[in-house]
Amino acid sequence: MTGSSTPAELTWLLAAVTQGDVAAFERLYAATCAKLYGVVLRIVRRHDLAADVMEHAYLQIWSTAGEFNPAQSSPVAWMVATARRLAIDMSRASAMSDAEPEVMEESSSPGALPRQQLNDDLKRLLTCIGRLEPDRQRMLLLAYYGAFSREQLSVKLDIPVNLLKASLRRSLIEVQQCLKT
Amino acid sequence: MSEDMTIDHDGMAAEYVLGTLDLDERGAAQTLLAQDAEFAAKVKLWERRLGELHLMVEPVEPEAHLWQRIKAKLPELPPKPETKPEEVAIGAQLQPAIDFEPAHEPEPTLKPEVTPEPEPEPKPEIERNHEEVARKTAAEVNFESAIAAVESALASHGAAAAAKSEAAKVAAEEVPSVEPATAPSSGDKADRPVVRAAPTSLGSNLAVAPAADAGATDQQLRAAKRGLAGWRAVALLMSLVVLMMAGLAGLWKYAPDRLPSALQPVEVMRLLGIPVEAGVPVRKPAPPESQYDE
Repeated sequence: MTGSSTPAELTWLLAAVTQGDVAAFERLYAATCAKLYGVVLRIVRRHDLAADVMEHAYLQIWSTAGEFNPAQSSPVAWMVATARRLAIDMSRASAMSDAEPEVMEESSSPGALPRQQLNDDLKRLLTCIGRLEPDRQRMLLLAYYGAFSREQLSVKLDIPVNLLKASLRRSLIEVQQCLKT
Repeated sequence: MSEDMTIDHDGMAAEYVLGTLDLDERGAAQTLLAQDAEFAAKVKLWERRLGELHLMVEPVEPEAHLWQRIKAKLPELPPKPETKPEEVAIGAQLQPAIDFEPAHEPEPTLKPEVTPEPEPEPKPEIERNHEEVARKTAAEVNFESAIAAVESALASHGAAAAAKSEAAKVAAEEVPSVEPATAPSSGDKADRPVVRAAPTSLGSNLAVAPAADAGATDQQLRAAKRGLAGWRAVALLMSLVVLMMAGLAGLWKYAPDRLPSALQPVEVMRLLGIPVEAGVPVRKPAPPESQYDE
């Protein structure tokens, strides 16, 4: 998995992909697909939808690899951002079109990784998130990992939507301020 | 007006990345993303800020067939063959320090409602060292707290019932005046299934949102006024009680004989369970005459 590929290697593969190198793309896929799938599955909560999102995400990565800037983010973070965007779109669209129950069991949700894998950027971010009150930390993280709409979150946390929105935005502002210092 | 728009864009970009916008709001954000470079930059920044959170997510292997599916749909050539692999790789190696460095953020960022703490005065060396240590410890505490929150968010993913009451309590504390006005509607929402929550926001959500906000503010105001009226009544009542007590004390001191027997000091003391010695005169004995002798 990603553990075996360094950011530099992934960056090199992404650059090769801009040249139309299918073999490099296959290696990139092999190195990152489990991470992306884990992220996507948390958001769409159905394997069939997650597979559709993965297909779109990798096709988009194939065609926009040239936009990746290694000075701005790690290759995996950039790929995850692409996949998340599509997963959230899918999640909103599927919530509108059908009311099929989520097929994923709560207990089968993937868990958290050991903390040795944390890098400095994540440590900094988590330290800033940790400055929020515990309930707002959890609200923010639940929002990020599940990408729930405010309406869904308000039901889950039993908070009126307008309070939830105010609370979320305040958390985001505080995290932003904290990261600057 | 323009400031409002900027503030809204900042919040919108952040929530777009966080993933909490509903279908219509997301549509609006994507339109903006395509048209407004400034907004697109804000989104990119938020993707960088929150990007590393993915490290905490456990990988899940997709079905093996998926790669074949993707490969079959690859277009012949990607559209932008511009940089050579070597150059990008070298670039990456040369610039590890700027990686994810948000120091040069271009955006006029959100005005926080929370006013930043004033610059502390320069401190003597020793004190500063102490503070450094304290701050570092605080950072560690915050970090541990966030790790716990991440694990909790990842573990309970869907059902957040455990945090439910606590979160509601905190939210209520944060904006106390809203509580009475919104309590019934929150009950409504709790009963509604998640999937049905989204369709209610169908239609011209953008147009409706400010109106709903205004309505909420109105409700908050009314609730606050109601609360204020209640407190006034309580204050008035308490003042009356104090006045009556003061009056009674005055009568005890200066004209205890005029009081009805039930309010006589001895009776009251007996009522309160304070033993009163028999024969003790109710009235303060007159000062000994010797006092005036000289």
